Amino acid sequence: MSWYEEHGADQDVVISTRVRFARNIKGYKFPHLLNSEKTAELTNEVVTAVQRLDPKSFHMVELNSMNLIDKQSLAERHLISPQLINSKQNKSLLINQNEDLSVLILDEDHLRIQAIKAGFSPDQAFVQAKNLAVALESVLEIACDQEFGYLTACPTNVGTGLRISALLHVPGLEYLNQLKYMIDSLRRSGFTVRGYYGEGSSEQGQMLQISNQITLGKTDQELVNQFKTILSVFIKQEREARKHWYEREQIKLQDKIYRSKAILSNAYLIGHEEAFNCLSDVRLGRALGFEGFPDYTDILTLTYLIGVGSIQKKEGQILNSEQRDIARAKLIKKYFADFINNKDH
Amino acid sequence: MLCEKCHINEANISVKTNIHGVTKTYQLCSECAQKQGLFQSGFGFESFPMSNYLGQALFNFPFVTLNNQPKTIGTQIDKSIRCPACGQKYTDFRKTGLFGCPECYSTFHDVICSMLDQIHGGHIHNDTQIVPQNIDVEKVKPLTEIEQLKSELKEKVQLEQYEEAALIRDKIKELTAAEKSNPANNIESEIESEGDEK
Repeated sequence: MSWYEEHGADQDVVISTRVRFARNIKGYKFPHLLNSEKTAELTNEVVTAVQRLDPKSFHMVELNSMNLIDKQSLAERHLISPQLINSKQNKSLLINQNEDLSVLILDEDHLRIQAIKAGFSPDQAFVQAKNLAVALESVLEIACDQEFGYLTACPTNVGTGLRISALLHVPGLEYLNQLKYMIDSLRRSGFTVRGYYGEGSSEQGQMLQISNQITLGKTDQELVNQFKTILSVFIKQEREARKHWYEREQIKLQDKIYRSKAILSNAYLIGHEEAFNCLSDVRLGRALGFEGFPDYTDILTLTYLIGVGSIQKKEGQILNSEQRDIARAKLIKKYFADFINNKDH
Repeated sequence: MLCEKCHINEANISVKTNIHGVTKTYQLCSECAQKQGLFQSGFGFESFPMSNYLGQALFNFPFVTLNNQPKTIGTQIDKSIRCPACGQKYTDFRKTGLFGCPECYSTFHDVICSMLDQIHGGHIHNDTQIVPQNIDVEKVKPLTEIEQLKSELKEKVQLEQYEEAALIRDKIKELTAAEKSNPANNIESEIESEGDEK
């Protein structure tokens, strides 16, 4: 079972929580300056080290040997950043079976150790990623300094190398025009706000990612605790906003949500953006406790399956835009039909 | 006196915070006070009766970037220096935003201190666990039940949900007493003082 098929805390607002540690190995230049020979040597060193630690849990994929569709599908599941899809340097990903723990080799840093969990699970993600980061230090010579901490290619990651982020669904705050103010407050206080696909992406489907900006001067546990405090308040705000919205415009809100569900259940052609936005409405319907709406785990699974890369991967062939829209509509429609049938029986 | 945040402008505003019953006073310039969101008004709340919880929470650690660390802002660098390990110059960093190798941190030490002060509000790492040669994997364990409850308690106090906080505090006292009765554990409780502050 993949991590996104599991339940997590506060799933009405938080889709997923990620923790990643940036680490580099002594004696090598940072990835953007490594030649192909050193790239292969470092990759081999890391893979051997991980296999020594835990030979069964991880399997390795080399991005250069993957086709475009498979790489897109990885980016859609937040396992690599979209910028890496077209990278010429060979990067590798070590990943466990349920895809909640991974090591990306040669992204901006030599190692990006990532744990991802459903819902708001900062402690679980932190402990899992930290355990692997610490274990890797016992088998690899990690670059660190008594004064600066863990050394990274970009000075924005130095110190703990920790980035903790949560993907949030915030239709209520958007409806009340609160997002801009909330985002400004967060940015002023040392947090970064980005769109659904992270760095450089725009906000879509009423979703945004919040992460820590400061990585130095506090322990990783302190950074996680600060993040938890801020996020718990943000979650509460979003719930209040939704409640207020529902009280003020119940019929309009019901109409919007049930229309989106009807589109997903009946369309013959649907683009990614429209499907994504309709799923966002369905998610809100589920959170508001409306009758006949699928579970968060099903909505998240469907969100991953309908991506441009993932839909082609599922169909097993390259599809043009219209073919993708047909395949996507068919998949979603079947899903909703199955859901209704299962409920009836 | 100088503003405690930017250390540049004259402080002309005194800001008092009350967190968990502990009152602190900060001397700020008006610019920094505004940047901290202390003078926000009219942000389109319409008739929405939402209290500014986020503002309150942020205020509980208003200076995320202030670490009371020595500041080195404004350090100059000799542009001809190359890192002996990777051959990169500081100008290369300016182009890419990335250093060449871990050694660059020694080569460009002073300017990096200055840069980190600006990015992170300090340049000194604070983590006692950084002893790579002596790492004991077994030591890094999931949060204990007490640690999780302490975190929840802090959150409830910040949200002023005192009834729920009291229940959590009692649970922590119970667990702490049980741990203390076990001679293998010697955990100091911080909860008594937190409870008294309320």
